[in-house]
Amino acid sequence: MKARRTRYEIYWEMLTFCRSPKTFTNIVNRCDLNSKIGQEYIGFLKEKGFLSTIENEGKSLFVATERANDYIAMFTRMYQELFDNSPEFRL
Amino acid sequence: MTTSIVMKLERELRSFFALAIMNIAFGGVAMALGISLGVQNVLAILEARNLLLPQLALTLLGFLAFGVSLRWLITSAEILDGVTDIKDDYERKKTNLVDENLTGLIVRMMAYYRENKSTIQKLTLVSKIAGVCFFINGIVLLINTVTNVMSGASFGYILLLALATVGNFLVSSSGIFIPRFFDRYSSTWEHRLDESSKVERELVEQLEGR
Repeated sequence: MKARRTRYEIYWEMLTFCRSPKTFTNIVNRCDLNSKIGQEYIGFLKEKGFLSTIENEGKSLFVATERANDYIAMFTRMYQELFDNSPEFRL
Repeated sequence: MTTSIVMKLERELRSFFALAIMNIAFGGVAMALGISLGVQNVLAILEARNLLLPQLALTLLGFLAFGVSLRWLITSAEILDGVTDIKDDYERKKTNLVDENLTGLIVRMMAYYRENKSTIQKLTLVSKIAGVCFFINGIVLLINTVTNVMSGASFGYILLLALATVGNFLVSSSGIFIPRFFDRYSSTWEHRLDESSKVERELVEQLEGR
């Protein structure tokens, strides 16, 4: 079981994972979500234009859009800065 | 920036891993000392065929220390399990630690802290209680050692008592000092959690396209 993550961390995880097309099952398994929550999060990202759907051999696949790159880049920069600018834990 | 973050992440992971190992080791020693104190005093009461109050108090203290140390040990094992998973993940990715993997590790460490925050607080408390129990027992053993020296007991017996006293004080000090490192770990991550809530506001704006 994955530890407690915020909604924004899960969005980031989904979008980075969907850089190449993924099925719904792939996404919920990777992000360790139940289908209901998975549907809710994917629905939100689709609605906001961060994910789009493509059809491949009768399967619906989700893929991150150009717009998602901005979110991924911003999240990555902010979390790395947050970690880098905070005091360090050492024994 | 990435290299400095990787170095920092590695040092933090190593420090926390070492802290978890230290905690397990002292938890194990504390548990052994607790059970030995309890059993020795039960045997003394059984031998005397009388309810000796100091021995009864030490028996209770020993079993209390045993129970608390057992909890200390189990909780430490849970903490170690989590940090080992993250450390292994880091080891697997470190040859190809691109931005995405590095951020993934930061997210994982943050989520791990959120998940284990209350466990770490409990661990801190339990360690302190165990430390106090062993400190009290150390004082009792010290008095006992001094009394035996004054009454001219054999050198071997005094040496054993002195060693037991030192052992108790060592476990006691670890029980009192280890939580200080956990407090330091918690304050580092609390600071990051506070900062992350500020970051979230900007992320919301990005998501909403404002």
